[in-house]
Amino acid sequence: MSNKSENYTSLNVQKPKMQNQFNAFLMSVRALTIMRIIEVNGRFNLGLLFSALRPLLLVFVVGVFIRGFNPAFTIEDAFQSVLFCGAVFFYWQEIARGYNFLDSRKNILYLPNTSHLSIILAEFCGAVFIFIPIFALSLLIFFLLEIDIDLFRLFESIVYASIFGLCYIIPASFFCFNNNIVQQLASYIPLIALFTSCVFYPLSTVPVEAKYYFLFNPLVHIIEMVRSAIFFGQDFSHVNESYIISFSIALLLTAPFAFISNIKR
Amino acid sequence: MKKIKLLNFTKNYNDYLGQGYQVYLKSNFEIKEGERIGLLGVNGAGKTTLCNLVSGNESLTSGSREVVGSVSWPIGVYSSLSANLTGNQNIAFICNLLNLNYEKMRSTVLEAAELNIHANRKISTYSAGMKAKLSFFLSLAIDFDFFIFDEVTSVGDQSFRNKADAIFKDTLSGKGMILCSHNFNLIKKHCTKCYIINDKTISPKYSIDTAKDIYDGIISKKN
Repeated sequence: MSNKSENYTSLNVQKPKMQNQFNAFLMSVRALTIMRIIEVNGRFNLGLLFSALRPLLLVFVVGVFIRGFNPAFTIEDAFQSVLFCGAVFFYWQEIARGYNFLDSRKNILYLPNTSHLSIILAEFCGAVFIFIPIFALSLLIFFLLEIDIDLFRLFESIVYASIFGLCYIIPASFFCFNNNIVQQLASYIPLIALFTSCVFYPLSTVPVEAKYYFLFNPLVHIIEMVRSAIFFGQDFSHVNESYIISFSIALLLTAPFAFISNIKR
Repeated sequence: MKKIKLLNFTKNYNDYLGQGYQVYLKSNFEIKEGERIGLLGVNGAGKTTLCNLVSGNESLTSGSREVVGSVSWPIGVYSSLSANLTGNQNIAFICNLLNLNYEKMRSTVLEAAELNIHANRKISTYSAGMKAKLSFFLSLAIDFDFFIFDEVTSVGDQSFRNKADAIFKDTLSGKGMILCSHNFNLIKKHCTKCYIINDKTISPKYSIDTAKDIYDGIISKKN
């Protein structure tokens, strides 16, 4: 072995194929997305299964919990009222959890062709790919239970969750980069969002005085949009798509400020 | 001609309250094609910062950066490998990123690093020496015009150092190289010129022996 080492003189080197900047950016997003999916797959050994099971576990827990108060409430009812809401919420959370990825992937920023934006976009694309089987599984359960759903409206809610998630993660990741205090604060947001986004209960059950404040949260609009695709004939006039978009744009507009403050550090 | 030039540059780091410290003040740095330059400086002088500035990973607070040619990432103990991925997956990631042939890269790197049997283990389970080897050969198997080494051979066994020596001589001939190390013998062996980093500035380019005398003077002053 030592002779082999001493006689060792050269490596079989490869020259990176020249590409324009845009292609290099797309290549890096692709590579980072693949890496993200592989990483999630490795988490808890069966990470993807764990991710897929989360909405189902949530439904099961809610079903069991509510049955304690209302024996007429079945697991089917829980599936109907919570399953897709949970799936869409966890999808948003998967995107939003990326607020600290710039920090945890700092070493990747050293590599050629990578940038803050490509890492964030890759985290987003990774979340989309990770959740495709979860949405498919949720839909399958709906079809098996023969629950009528408005597929277009569901798709619309996923699109709005994606827009809001992306507009949240871009400034959040810049604000959190190299800033432990902001990171700590940001880590509570998905948890607070879980209990204030009407995932477990419809907005109609919220006291009238509180409804007004709940509607400031764009996630409530998204989750209620999911419900509107399942519960026909109910009043969902409070769902305001333009509010989700306006809120998202307002968040996105803070990104340049976050970026500049980040560069100064 | 291929070159990297940092002109009249300043680098400050600020904390969240806007207070910070200055690493470089109106300094200059230049490396041309085929040049092999050593960087000497005490701990905290700014060697790693300079490596990051040269490779473009960190931005200059003021001044200009001119790069003609391709530059490697800083190759060091704290490498660009992802801890959650296996050795093979890290190689695949770099190949995806730079549009390289995975099979060819995999066989080259694993054979050189002698890590064939560990290729499917996660990087987080690798020792410091194994990480350094994988990172070193993975970076060197890509044809950059300039290579930046930040204390890379300080870990690793004799076999790795022998290979590294051979590669410095052969594979890297004609390439620009920046070698940042506290090991003066290593710099003397592989570099032709040397910069000394002291007091927020970079010295003019010295010959190795002159640099050694000046650097010893700085050390004895500090002591």
